[in-house]
Amino acid sequence: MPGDKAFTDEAIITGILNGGMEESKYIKALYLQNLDRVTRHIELNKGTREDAIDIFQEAVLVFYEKVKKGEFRGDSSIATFIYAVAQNLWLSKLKKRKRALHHTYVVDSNIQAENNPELAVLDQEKGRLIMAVLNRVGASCKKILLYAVYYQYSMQEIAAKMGYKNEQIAKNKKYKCKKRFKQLLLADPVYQELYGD
Amino acid sequence: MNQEDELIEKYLEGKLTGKSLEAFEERLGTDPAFSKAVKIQKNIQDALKTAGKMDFIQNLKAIQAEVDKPKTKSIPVKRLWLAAAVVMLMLVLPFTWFYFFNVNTNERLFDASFKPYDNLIGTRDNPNDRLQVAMKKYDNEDYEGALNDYLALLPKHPDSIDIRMYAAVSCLAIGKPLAAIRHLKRVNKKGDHIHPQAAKWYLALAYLKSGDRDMATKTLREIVKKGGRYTHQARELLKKLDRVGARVGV
Repeated sequence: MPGDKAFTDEAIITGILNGGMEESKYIKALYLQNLDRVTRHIELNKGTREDAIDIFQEAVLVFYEKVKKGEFRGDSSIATFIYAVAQNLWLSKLKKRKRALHHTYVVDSNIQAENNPELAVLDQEKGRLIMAVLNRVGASCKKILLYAVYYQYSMQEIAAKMGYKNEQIAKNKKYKCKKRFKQLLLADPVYQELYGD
Repeated sequence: MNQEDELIEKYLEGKLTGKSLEAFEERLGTDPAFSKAVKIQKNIQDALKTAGKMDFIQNLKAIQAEVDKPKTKSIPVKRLWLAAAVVMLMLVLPFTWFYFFNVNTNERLFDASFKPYDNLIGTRDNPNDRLQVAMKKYDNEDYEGALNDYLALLPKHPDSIDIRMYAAVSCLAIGKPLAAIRHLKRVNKKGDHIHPQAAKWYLALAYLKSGDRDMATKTLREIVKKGGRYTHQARELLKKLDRVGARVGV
């Protein structure tokens, strides 16, 4: 399974940009083609197998979002890019662990959540709230909202994925789901606490 | 969706330009209720993006779980019976030795070389989609069930290389090499797809399983000549076939 070379970089990038039904196939190939090289590097540099997989998955996420935003220019190969991102993520995690060990946090209002434990906790709580609310809107609504907002599928693709007759139905469903998500989110007391609205 | 929500969504997605953008930003500065609505909408968009990231990572974890799953291959009871029958026949009918030696060798070489093709289609999409259902069965090694689904899908999608490819591998997994050969020949005829190397490799295995060692050898040589993912496996299998051929004087 690992080391599968069935897809070229170009095919993977096009597959992600096109999105839709086929996308997961390209993500899987991308994952399998890069897994060993990246995880081996992290494991050889003081990481456990779990560290290596977490970091690799974060690097794949960074790559995916860059491609979706049209920011991956292809100056380097996908493998080189993911390897470099994973290397940086791992170095920053190692530094963070070292700091945690010596209790030398520097609190700075401009510092990012990544380096600030309080902001990281806030982010985690936001994540938990969002997932809890999303689970309450129902499985199909959750899918529609994620497809539309995160995966940026067109209404036509959403209709095909969800088995709706046309994109207008998908559009109406998305509107209703978003409305329901908004109602539930705003009504949740934790939302007021975390977002301060 | 009401017009205001739609306008806010466009703004947050960076799709507002020119005068519409100017008017929007002016209202943002002067209308506190509107400003609050934009802030809420932005929180919702951010929340969904965060959820999307978590969903994406979950999908990667599912792939990892497949990688970590040990690939144990149990010997089907049917094959054990076949082996027993071979032994019995060799005892009572010595003159059939040559024939059964070949059958047994083909089976053994096939078993040593055959591993189900990776699922490159995934299973995370619409769970009601029959192809996704079939791929789930395939992942769970229910090749008989998966094959039924592929065969039901093929009349509607006769040109789908993906369906045909996985149907062929399922046929091989349940011991139907001739049906596998039919599907794989059609896959190999099409040039524009992602399984060309795999299709050749499984075709060679299907020939081997069917007992057609000449065609298996020919196909394996083509794989070695062309290079690619299965070159090493093809070369190794060729060596084994050569050794067997030398032993029985073929």
